[in-house]
Amino acid sequence: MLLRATSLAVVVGALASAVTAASLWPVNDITLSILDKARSQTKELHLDYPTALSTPVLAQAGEVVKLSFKIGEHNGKKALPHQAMIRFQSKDEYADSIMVVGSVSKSSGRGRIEIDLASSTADERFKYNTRQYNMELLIGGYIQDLDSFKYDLGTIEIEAPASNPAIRPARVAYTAQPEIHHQFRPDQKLINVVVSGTFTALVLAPWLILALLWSRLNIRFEPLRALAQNPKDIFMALLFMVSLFSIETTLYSYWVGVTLFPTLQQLGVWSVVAAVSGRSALSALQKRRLQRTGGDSGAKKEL
Amino acid sequence: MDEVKVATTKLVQNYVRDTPSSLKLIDAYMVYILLTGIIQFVYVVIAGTFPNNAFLAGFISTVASFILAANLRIQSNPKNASQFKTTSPER
Repeated sequence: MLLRATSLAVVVGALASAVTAASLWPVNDITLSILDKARSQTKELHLDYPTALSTPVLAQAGEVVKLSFKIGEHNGKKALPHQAMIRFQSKDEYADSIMVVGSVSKSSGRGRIEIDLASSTADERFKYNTRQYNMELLIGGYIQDLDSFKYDLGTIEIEAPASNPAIRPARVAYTAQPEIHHQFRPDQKLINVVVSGTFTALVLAPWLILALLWSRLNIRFEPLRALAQNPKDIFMALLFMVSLFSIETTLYSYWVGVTLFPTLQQLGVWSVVAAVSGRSALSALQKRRLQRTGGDSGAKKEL
Repeated sequence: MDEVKVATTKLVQNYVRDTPSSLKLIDAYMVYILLTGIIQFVYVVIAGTFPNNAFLAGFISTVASFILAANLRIQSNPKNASQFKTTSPER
């Protein structure tokens, strides 16, 4: 349909632009025939531009409407049209049916179009009911000094099939739809503050148990004196703790305000710092432990 | 019943006496994790999973921490030292 509309636009445009051109496309031998179901000719009408048919032609349901024409020479050369089409304009409906002529023979210049009204591919509009159409032949091409050919052929009455006519689609009425009101999901009912508060306290309570249990273990820390022998060790140990804390902080900030890429950048930096400083601090710790225990490989027991 | 009591007492005594303090440290941590997980689960049973993501995050964290702590305990245990020759206590 779009193709047809575009083709029409091209032809109409050519018509408009070629007002001053000298001559029309040399179209002659225009013949309109009606063939019956057995493809035998029932009517043949020779048309002469610009005379239209004086009386309407009748095409019965199931017959074939055939239009043929021949395009002559222009300036001693064969003129080949770019587009050729036949337009059926219903007299009681603002809707055109445009049939494109498939091809025009290069050698003979003959073009023809057959519209089989019985065919399932024929325009549905021919099958709604019996109506009269105005026929128009349009031929145009890319030859500058030729006016596009537009020939009002006259009227044709196309009979709708007596049985099983096509159902005319209902006209689509575009009206305002009822307004859509967005429905927000109601807020989730929150649990009683007392219950949630109690459980918050309960969930935090194991910290106390942990502190209590650890305090009863009599854990011996490494004497600060040993650590303080080397300022680099202190620095690395501190850096390690800071980097671990920073990683936790970064994860917390990601949890609170979800920003993935800054989080990844920060994690990338801090994890490198943590890896380097941790390796240094822990290997220093191991060295001191081995010094203390005299390089005993069973040092795990000492812990 | 008395036998159970005796066995339990002996178990506790042996644990307190024989377990290295580093393992006790990890055990205390595991108890803490376990309790936290249980309390969260109880809360969900009572109050429902409304902040479902919060429950999932909290509970799965406790499970994961527990598993990691258990692994650390296995590796730190001097009795398993023969199986983890390359892992130092500071790893």
